[in-house]
Amino acid sequence: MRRFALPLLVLLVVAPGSAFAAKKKVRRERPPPVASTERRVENPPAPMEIRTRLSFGAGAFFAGGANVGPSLGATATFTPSFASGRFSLDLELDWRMARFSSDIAGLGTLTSTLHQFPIVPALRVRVLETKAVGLDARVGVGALFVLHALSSDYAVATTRSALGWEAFAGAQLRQAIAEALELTFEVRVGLGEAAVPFVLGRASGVQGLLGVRYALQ
Amino acid sequence: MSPLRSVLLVIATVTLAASCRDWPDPVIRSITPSQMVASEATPIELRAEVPLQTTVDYAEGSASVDTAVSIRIGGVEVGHGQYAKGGVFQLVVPTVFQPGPQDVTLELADGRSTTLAGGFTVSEGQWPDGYTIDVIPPQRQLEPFTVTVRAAGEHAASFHGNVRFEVPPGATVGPQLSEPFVDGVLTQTITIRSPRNEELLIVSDVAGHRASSNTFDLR
Repeated sequence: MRRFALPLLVLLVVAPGSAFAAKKKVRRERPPPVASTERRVENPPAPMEIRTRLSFGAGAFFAGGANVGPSLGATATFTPSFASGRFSLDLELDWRMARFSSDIAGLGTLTSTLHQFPIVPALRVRVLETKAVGLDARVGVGALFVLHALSSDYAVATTRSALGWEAFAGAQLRQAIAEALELTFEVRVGLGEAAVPFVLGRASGVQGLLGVRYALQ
Repeated sequence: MSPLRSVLLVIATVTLAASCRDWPDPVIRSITPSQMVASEATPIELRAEVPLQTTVDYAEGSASVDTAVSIRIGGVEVGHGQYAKGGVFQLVVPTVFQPGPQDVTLELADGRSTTLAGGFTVSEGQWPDGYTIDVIPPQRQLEPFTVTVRAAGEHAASFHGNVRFEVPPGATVGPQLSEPFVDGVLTQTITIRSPRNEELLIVSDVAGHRASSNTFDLR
């Protein structure tokens, strides 16, 4: 093998079109102005890439009175490569639950449970990015699906549902904990409505979520 | 977002919208017994699923329930008009029906209702031949007083039906339907309002028997 190595190297170096030969040619005569155009054709701009990340969070919300309880969230984030990946589109599905019990005179105890499922596309803008920490601002508006359940020790249980809307604005702090994994903490303020007859109270309010975000690509 | 994801989101939203629903209508599950003798006031137990109209306020953490429930048999209101715990209503059906099947309707305050067509059957009864009313002394307007009505005839001693109270036109009496007789005798408190100074009380049953009291002073 070693016997053929040197002649092969020489052949590659002096062959027309080889990198070395081209370099020498450039040294001999300056390339015409069109050369830069030809170079762009040879190296077209990279196609737009979309990075996908999935995040999951758990926390709590408070919207006044008994409208308080746990919340969960799952978000798919799509980040196009333009503008250095500063803007992203989130598709988010959440769950919130509020529950309280009340004594009904002469009958017994009533328990009211409100499940809320916002399905919200959101715009995410990277506000700050350092090696370890990032900060995003998020705004979204979408659908709010509500389930209201009544149960008691004196009457048949019922479940009703309604569809409404929800909008929110929030900030998410990200802390890198591995190459493709980040810890997230989000605080948001929401406003929404899904009218279930005879159910009073705001559908959303202040919410905090602690979670993780994983980069798929 | 890819077109596929957009389509999925739209489908999910439409599906959720289509699944929106409000309280269900009430349902009558059983009536025990489901029949009575026309001349015997009969206690029955009606079981129903009644989703009561309930207002919940998450801002206050409070709830209120509208317990008004109307139960009608053959168009006649029975019971006390209120919800009974567990949807188990203990009712006494008065003797105001002609023999035959009767519809049973349960209605809530917000208008939701259910009707069990022919859910209650009334069979032929054994009525007394008539009634007598013990002498009524002078009374005062709108002041309750007690009257005693006695069934007469062959089946009098076993009569446990109801009679209607009436007064001549222009006056009113309450209640208009008596309690059931006990072994052929009814003792009940009534109230009369009349523009006249003299009045008389009339009792009648659904079989067509009628009786009048003496004319008594009403001050």
